[in-house]
Amino acid sequence: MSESEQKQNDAGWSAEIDELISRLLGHYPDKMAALLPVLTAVQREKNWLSLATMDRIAECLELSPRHVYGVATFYTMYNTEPVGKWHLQLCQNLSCSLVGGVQILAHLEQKLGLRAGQTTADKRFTLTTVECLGSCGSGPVLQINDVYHENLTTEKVDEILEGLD
Amino acid sequence: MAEELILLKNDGNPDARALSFYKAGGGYQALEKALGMQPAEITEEVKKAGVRGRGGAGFPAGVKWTFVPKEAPKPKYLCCNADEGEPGTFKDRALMEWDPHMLLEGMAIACFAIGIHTAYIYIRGEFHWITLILEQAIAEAREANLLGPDILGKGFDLEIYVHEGAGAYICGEETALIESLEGKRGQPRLKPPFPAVVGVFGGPTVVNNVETLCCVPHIINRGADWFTSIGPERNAGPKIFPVSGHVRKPGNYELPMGTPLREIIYDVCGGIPGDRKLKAVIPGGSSTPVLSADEVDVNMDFDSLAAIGSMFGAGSIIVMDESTCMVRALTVLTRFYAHESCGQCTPCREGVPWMYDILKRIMRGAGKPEDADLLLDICSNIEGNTICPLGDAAVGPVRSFIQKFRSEFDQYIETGKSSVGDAGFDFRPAD
Amino acid sequence: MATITIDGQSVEVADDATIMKAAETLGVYIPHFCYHPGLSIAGNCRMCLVEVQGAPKLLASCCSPVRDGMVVLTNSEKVVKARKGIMEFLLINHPLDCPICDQAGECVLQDYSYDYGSGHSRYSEERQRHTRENIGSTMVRDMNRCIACTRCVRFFHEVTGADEYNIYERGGHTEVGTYGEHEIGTKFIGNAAEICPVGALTLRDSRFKCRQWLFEQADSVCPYCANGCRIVIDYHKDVLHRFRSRPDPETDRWWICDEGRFGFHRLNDKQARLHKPMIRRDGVLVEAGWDEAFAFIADTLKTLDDEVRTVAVGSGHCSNEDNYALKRFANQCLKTGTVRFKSWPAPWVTDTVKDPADLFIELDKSANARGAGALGLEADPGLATTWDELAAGSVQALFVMGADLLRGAPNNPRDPKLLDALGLIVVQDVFRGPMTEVAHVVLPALAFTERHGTYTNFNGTAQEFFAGPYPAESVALADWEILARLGNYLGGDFPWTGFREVPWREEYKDV
Repeated sequence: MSESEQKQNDAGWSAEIDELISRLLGHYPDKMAALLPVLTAVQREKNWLSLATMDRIAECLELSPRHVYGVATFYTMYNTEPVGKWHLQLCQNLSCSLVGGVQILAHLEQKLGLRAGQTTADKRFTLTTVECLGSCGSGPVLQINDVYHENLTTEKVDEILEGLD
Repeated sequence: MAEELILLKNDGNPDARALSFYKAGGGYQALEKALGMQPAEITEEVKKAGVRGRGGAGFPAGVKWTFVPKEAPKPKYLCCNADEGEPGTFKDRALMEWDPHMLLEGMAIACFAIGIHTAYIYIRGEFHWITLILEQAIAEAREANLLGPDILGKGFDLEIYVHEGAGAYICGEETALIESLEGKRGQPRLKPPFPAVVGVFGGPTVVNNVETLCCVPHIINRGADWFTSIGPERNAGPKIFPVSGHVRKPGNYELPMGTPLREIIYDVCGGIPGDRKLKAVIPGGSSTPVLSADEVDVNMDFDSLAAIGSMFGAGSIIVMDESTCMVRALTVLTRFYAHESCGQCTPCREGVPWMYDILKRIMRGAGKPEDADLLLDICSNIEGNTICPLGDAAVGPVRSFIQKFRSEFDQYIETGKSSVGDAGFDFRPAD
Repeated sequence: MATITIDGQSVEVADDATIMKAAETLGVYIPHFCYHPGLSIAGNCRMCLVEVQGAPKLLASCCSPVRDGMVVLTNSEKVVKARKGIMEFLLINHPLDCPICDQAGECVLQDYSYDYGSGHSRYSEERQRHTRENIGSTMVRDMNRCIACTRCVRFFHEVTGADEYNIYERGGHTEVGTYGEHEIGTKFIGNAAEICPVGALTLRDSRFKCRQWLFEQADSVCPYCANGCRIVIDYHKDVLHRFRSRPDPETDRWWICDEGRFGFHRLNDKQARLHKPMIRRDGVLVEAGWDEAFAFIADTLKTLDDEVRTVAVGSGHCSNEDNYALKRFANQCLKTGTVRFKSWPAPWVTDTVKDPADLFIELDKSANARGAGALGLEADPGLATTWDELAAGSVQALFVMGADLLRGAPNNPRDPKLLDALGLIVVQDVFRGPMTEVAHVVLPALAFTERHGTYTNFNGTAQEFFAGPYPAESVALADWEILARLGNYLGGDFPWTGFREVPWREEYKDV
């Protein structure tokens, strides 16, 4: 495979994304407005947003690639580096901290053998500390990919991790 | 406590999401009624109800609607602000998760009143499962001719789309939300022009909070007089109070505006675990100035909190007991604002991370005697000088924590460690 | 109209004016970084905050509209405190490397720190650190010095439409640049460095060359195309260091192209320049004094047949004074009927449609073709007619000012052998070139940076330009001055002592 083909391939996505894009374009008077939802959907499918991926999104929405990079680096949910299969995002804001969020962090770090911000060698887990997830009344909260796990205890964390492949 | 729940009556009931359930409880009657009214009548009723913005700013929603010019060269839009990001706040999430049709009905009425045919729900991206719930509800409502073209045969067209954010607290600010919705970096706009004149896609735009819009069907059904009968004058209506931190029963509570804070903490939420002593309360979300334990005899409404130098915000109560180290708590909050500064204007971009750095240094035990005053002076250089309210939001906790717990700060700086010991929560500087 | 009071002075301004604009009309200067009259309003630096009576907080004057009856204070205690705060914020992450920064001396951050800065820093935390990055081949970005005013971003997006440059990340991590790739597809990059209020964007070719405060300035006009952009020449001793734009009130434009901006290099090349008159003796050019050269020309003219036909070739690169002087010189001293100039486009040029991305860059690369035509010089596209005449043998002498006859069609260079038959070739020019190789007499002319003059741009605006440094170890003169001296030597009437005395307007008929 040539380098350009490889790049093309890296930037590819499923037909569902194409469908989503054409549906999204009907929601707005302006193609640019579809950018955030498209970035989100593509990342959900591809795990992260490579330059090649972002370039292809730019092309689809008739935007400049730099506009897309500017947007992708502004919002914290976009991964401009690969993350593990399971992206663990643990809230460290005040309400969660008051009810044990930091102990959960220590437990996760020990359990996974890494520090927040790192990915396990087998690329299964990335642990990130995040700001308020809007679960203050049910903290500590851990978001794993798209799912919230609330009212955490260390036992509950162990249980959850065991359920992940 | 209110006998009847208005906003949270279906909280936690997954069956309540279905259109049939919502209709069985009288849902969409307000929309039908509204479609038989003159749009100006609706706005007048909402204005009369005096429902103040539940997102935090407290601006009367009905008045906001009247700012939209009747004739505009570009289409008008409604943006429902569901970006719920202020630490301590988790109320809109409950409304959307358990009663999505109440929001849709409120939006439809608002759109009819203002003459809007396209509306967006800008929801924070982390709430992806709620997006799916809302999209399901929209599909059902469309199917039942409660949304879409020619609603209920009354000739009114409306499409509602859910639009996910992607991780930026600033997008809860209405002009940043608009920028973000347009597919840009979420940086607040300069005002004027105000969104009511030039908003999203260049058209006049109203941005209303989820809870605000959820009040609308009830106002139409039962009238403004009913609404104002709940809670004190100028602060009317039912309100969800999200309570978190050191209480036995944290969670969302729907109570009349003006409910005393002490009552909420001790009666509604069952008091403090281990019967430890109350130390401090953030009354309206992380940006609102903290109250010390002897200030909790205050009514939870806009004017009462303003009168004691704090803010009602979104009514999001964070309770801290005696085990809480205020230096740590403030460091956590300031880290949040440093992390969420959009970087556009100087005071916030430079000042807020600076405050965070100072607090981190104090926490490391390397504080200097002048640090507390330095922090206060930085606050005065940020406050009022930024493009949007995020700068002021960051100042709120810093100034109030230091002013009200000065001795704890001074002691930490002097001894290099917390006077509260390790009983509270641990802190690790990140980023 | 609205009447507002600024620092006690009243002024009437348009209803949609900003406080900043209103202050400008009163001559009240409000400090600012992000505001630039040629760009959209960003309102992000907050340096221009002012106090408005009745307003709960300070207002950014660049983006706050006036209101009738508004009372503004630009220097109140509150305002000064806010400005000091902004300055402190901007400086906490700034490297304070003025001693090695090329912007020093013309840096507003540096200037304001004298007015609003503090003698000591209250900042004891770690500074942000960024790596330097090249932007295109001509510019360097040093994020450590950046104050995120976004002038550069707005310039690229709004003026050039170049979208290879943007702003990334957020908060204290905000960066501007090209994100990986370094190239920007525009011919106007240098403007970004010029409008950068600090040393975050500097131009590679002037980095570390000369301190800004040593520069002397001359107002000039860029001669590298027919647009005639107004420029300022920055020079030190006789070395040109920089061309930069001089805002044009007529077109409300602040920008110049990179070709013009970097066009000073060739003038600094002493090897390429002509410094002294030269006379060809035994096939070799030998330096001579002016009088010696004039005497040689006079003598040679005398030896030529009375019927001789001399063609004088002026130039669209020369000023109105020069072309007028040439015409007068030809009439009085050369017994010639033909004074021409090389006009554009040459017959072989096919690409005559401007690329919209070129904005104000004109295809005609001569500064004053329109002026030359208006003075009655005969337009000779690509000098094709002159060469036809040379080939036909109907020309016996050439007097060439600032024109290169030998550069012809790309695939059909002119044959210098055709010039061998001529009795006299006088070449008056700034640079050595193919023409000096065939000249009998070479007269050294001053470059446009070294003299005064007037160019008429493509749309008929006559603009004066003024002298920068005189080249050391040179005896060169302005073209018109050479012609005046030679003309007087040959018995003509050239009584001028300054460029404004050259009465070119008498024969100037612009249509």
